[in-house]
Amino acid sequence: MDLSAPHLGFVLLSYGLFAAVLLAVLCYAIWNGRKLKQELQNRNLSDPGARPGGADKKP
Amino acid sequence: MQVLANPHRFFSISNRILPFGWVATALAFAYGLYLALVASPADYQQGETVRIMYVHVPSATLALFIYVFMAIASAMALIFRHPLADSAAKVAAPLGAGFCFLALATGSLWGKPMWGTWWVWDARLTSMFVLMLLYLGYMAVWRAFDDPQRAASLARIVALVGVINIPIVKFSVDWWNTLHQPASILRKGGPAIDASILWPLAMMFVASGLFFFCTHLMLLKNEVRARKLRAEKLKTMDTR
Repeated sequence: MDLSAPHLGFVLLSYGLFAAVLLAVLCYAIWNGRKLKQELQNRNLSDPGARPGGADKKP
Repeated sequence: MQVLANPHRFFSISNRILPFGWVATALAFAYGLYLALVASPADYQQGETVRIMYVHVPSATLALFIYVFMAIASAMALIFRHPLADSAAKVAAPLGAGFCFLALATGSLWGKPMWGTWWVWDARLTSMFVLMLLYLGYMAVWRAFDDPQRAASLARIVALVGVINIPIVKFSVDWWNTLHQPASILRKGGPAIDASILWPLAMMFVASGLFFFCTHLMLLKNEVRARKLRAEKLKTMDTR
């Protein structure tokens, strides 16, 4: 890639935007997953993916 | 498909797939970006700006593909009452909206130096803008109702009615005279672009597709967790 080419800013901005949106989606998915797992734990519920033996603890 | 209706089995399958999926996504992006930014040649007319195509085209294609996926999932929810179908459509919507936004934004960034304008109301750009509105409308429907069943019923209709816009987006460049160029890959007679440009494009499409697949699985797992929490909250409200 020719770094002195005209309009290179448009190219870099496009790739920056692409990376930013994809990273934002990924971070949201991870953060939301952790938050929900924590909330399940706080309510003494097992994760839906937990082994069948790990039944929900009822108070 | 009914195998995935069991949350435990769905989690177990997706937990096994996801690590490989993420490795494949990272490798595909690394190779795709190398091809797109380093190995592929500049265009003889557009110069370096042609490289915007490697993020613009996969984003636009995925925005269309994800909407079709949502419509199929909504139809499956309607016909087969598959418990995960509505959730699969619901969590795909923000991903589709993200890719649609990227297609519009990178298209605008490509249009300014090449066409001399950020935006024109031609058939392709307008139909793509309508697709963005459909995504936003679909997501708004899910948030508009407290009862998930009512939201799901209306969201299915939005997804199924809105899918009519997909052929309009695809064939807009053939049906109307547009500033946007006609199809150069999926057309009669095969791709009209050189292999040196086609390969990076294909690689970036594969990488973006894998990204969608992995994030969709993650969001779907989160939705199953959220459903369990909602059910528990309703149960405790009932016992009060």
